[in-house]
Amino acid sequence: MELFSKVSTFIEKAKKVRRLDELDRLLEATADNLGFDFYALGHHVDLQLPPENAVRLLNYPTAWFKRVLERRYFVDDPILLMSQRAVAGFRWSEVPDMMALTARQKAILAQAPREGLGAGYTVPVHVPGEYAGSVNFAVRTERKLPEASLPSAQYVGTVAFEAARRFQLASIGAAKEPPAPLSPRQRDCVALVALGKSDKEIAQRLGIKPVTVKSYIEDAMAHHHTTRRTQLVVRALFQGDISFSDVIK
Amino acid sequence: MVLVVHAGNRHRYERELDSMFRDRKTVFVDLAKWKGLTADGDHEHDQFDTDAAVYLIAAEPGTGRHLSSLRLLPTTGPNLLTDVFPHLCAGALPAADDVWEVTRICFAPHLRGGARKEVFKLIALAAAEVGLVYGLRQYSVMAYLSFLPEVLAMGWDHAPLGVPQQVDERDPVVAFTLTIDSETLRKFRTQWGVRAPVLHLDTYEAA
Repeated sequence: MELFSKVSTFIEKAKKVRRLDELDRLLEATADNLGFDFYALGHHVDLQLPPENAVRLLNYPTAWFKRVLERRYFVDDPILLMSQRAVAGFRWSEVPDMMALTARQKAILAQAPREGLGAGYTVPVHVPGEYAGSVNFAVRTERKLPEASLPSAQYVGTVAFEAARRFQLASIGAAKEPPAPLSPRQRDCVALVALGKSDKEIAQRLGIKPVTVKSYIEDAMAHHHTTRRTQLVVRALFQGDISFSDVIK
Repeated sequence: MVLVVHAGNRHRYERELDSMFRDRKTVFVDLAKWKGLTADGDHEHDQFDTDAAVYLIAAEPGTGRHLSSLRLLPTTGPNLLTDVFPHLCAGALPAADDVWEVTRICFAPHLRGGARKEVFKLIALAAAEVGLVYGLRQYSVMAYLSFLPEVLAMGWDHAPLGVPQQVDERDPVVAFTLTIDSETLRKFRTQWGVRAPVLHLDTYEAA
């Protein structure tokens, strides 16, 4: 079967999938079709305490995944950290050139092939206001990555992630009630809070009174059900009211 | 409100068009550094910005400042996929009266976070509405794979036209179609809590 029909067959089937385990089987078959042995799709969360709407599907070697959980590799796994920064897909072999690694991180990368998990390719998936996540495709130790399939793997992974996300949203009812965004003025104030500005400084910047700034921020805190400014910034980033590019300059 | 600007009414929207072409230059030439694009002074134009093009433009009321826009072209005439990127299609190229191409999806560079999300919804609603007004069946689209999660998260039904391919040093680009139907528009309005049309249809007689 040519590459295009493998991809389009996957996409047609993914639309009809109604349960997470069906998607899991479809992804396994498609990864195999594209020349991979393993796949792992998931939100970036603490794997030992995942929130109820986080998704995780994978067929990594059992011994390896057990080790990941027990030793909490997911906290500083360089592949995971890289996928939170990257926009496009990357090969695992490129990671040592992309970031400075600690001794433990080097050990994690060296350990995976010993457990059967060889070369891999990671596709980061970012949906503003949701968890960031990634989809990974890999081959057994000693096998080579199917280079010609990598762009298609990125496409398949992105579609699979969206399908998985849709199930989870439906199951918790979130799709029906997206939170209302903050008002433009509230957003301006929260972005400046995130930059560490005081009410007085924010007031000067926006040309309004400090008491007005305070009231915008209090309204925004009420909106996000919190009484703490730090928590407000985190919620506003999570919901996409403000973005990292607003606060990291 | 989103304007529908075409050869017959463009003289009434010079301000919005000027602002859009300026943002296109900033976004595609200066920031994204798309290959093969050249700036025309402060504007970005290509060979498809002709009288056949129809622009959907969300602009600030009063000032006419461009917020978000896209370009529509009939696939029966010259279009980017057919003329420049035909290799992105595995089968027949789209060429039908009821299939139009969407290109140059552009957001004002100053919009971030929630503000960008709002104009993203606005332009998607406008595309869904205008497709129904024009009696279209599909849009053909090309997108970098990193832009795809946002497109898919809208819940717009899509079908691939080919496999993704590298066209520059960025992530691969995939060509696909989006289905136009009233169900899609209804879904968008429900999920985003929108109850009225966003299109400003210019029913003026042509000059």
